[in-house]
Amino acid sequence: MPDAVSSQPYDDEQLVRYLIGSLDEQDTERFDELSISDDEFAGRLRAVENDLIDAHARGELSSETRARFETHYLSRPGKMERRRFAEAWTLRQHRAVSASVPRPGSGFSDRPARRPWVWPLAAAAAVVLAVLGYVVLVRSNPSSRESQVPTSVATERPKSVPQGPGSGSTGPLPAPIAIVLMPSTRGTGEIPSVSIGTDSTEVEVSLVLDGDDFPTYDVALKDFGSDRILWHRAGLTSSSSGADRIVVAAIDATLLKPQRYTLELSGRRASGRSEVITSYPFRVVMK
Amino acid sequence: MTTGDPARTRPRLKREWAPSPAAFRQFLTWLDGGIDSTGERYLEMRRRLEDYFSRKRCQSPDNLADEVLNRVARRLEEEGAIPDPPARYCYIVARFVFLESLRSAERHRTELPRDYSRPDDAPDDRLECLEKCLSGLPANDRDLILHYYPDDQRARGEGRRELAARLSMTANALAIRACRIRGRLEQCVGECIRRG
Repeated sequence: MPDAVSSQPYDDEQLVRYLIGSLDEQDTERFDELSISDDEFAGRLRAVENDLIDAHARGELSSETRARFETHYLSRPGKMERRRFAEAWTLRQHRAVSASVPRPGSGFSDRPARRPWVWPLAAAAAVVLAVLGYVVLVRSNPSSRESQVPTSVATERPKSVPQGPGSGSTGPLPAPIAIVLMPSTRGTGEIPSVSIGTDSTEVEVSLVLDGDDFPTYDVALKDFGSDRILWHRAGLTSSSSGADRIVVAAIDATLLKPQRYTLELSGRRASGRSEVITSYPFRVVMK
Repeated sequence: MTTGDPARTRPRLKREWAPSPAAFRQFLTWLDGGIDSTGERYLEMRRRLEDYFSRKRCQSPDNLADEVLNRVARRLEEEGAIPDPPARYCYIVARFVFLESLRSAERHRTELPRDYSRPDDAPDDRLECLEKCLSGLPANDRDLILHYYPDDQRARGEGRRELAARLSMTANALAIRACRIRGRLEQCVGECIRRG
């Protein structure tokens, strides 16, 4: 009875439930058949599957759907690879927009490429001056730092920037920036902010640890509202900074927009298993 | 309806049979339904079958997909014709192969706890491969996929409608084309990563 099977309507929400294994038995059987025998359904199903993987990569699924997606869908062979592709694609597209890079070719759209922000040259020059006047955080005394810098963030020149003779005489610097974020247990509740300029290429983030219990750490930059992962780095090790232990990560500054973010720190055990330790919220301000 | 169940008389998976070149050509022609797809239809059916068995959580979706195609090709060779529409008949056989797999060694896989929050071990390599593969696409395909899967998820719906209108395609046809391009891109990136 192929006509009876294909004539019944279906929507994307049902297709999602079918893909994550939460559809009732009757519809599952109907969709099983359509997925092989109906060209239109098979095409629609594949399109919904791609959007579903992308939504997971962006952290846009509800907790229930996400849990089902991970246990039912991602456990199938080859699906983690598809998920990683989606993550790379998301990151690539986000960077393209953040950097206001015109999208390749314009044959399909007569709209200009999206530019999230446009900066006058004068403002850019001001940013360079402002960054050169960075504030160095007093890092030798954690208790005094807490009282003196309630926002638990500072902007300073990263240690990786050459400081030798001549380094300041070659024209404007590319606005290197570093920030130090304290664990939420030491903060005042106020979200720290960091100012970056249009010419900033990298933000070096030092995450101060409450305890150093893992051989390596992973850091994920997340959109504050959607919890979508925008960037991550795995296999980082801790180092000493005064009396503290810190994890340092360098973030591509072109990823950052003027908004709120969190940096999620996970510790990875020798067995490979990771545990989320804490999050460091912060705000980006453009100069 | 099908005259008899092609799989009912085969209680075990029979992978030993393979179609002769002539039988395989006959099978491709039948699967194409009169329109020469140069093998595309076969590959598409194999993909659908593999996905079906994967969704059913079978251990070897690719082997089971091949088993279905072999059985269909065999019946076509033996009987000369199959009255059911090709895709529908493939589903009928797939269902029997699935039920057989439940009774045989092809059991449902046992789930192992996995850490799905674990980040990609080689995000930079993957991004580099992605850029390389993107630049290897024909310009039209590259533009299409960049516009079909934009950064802003919320803008996807409207953007896709505009894109479909601009290309004079239905939304479904556009989706299928975008999925095919994405499939090629994913394959290219996977191969690039494996090559290191």
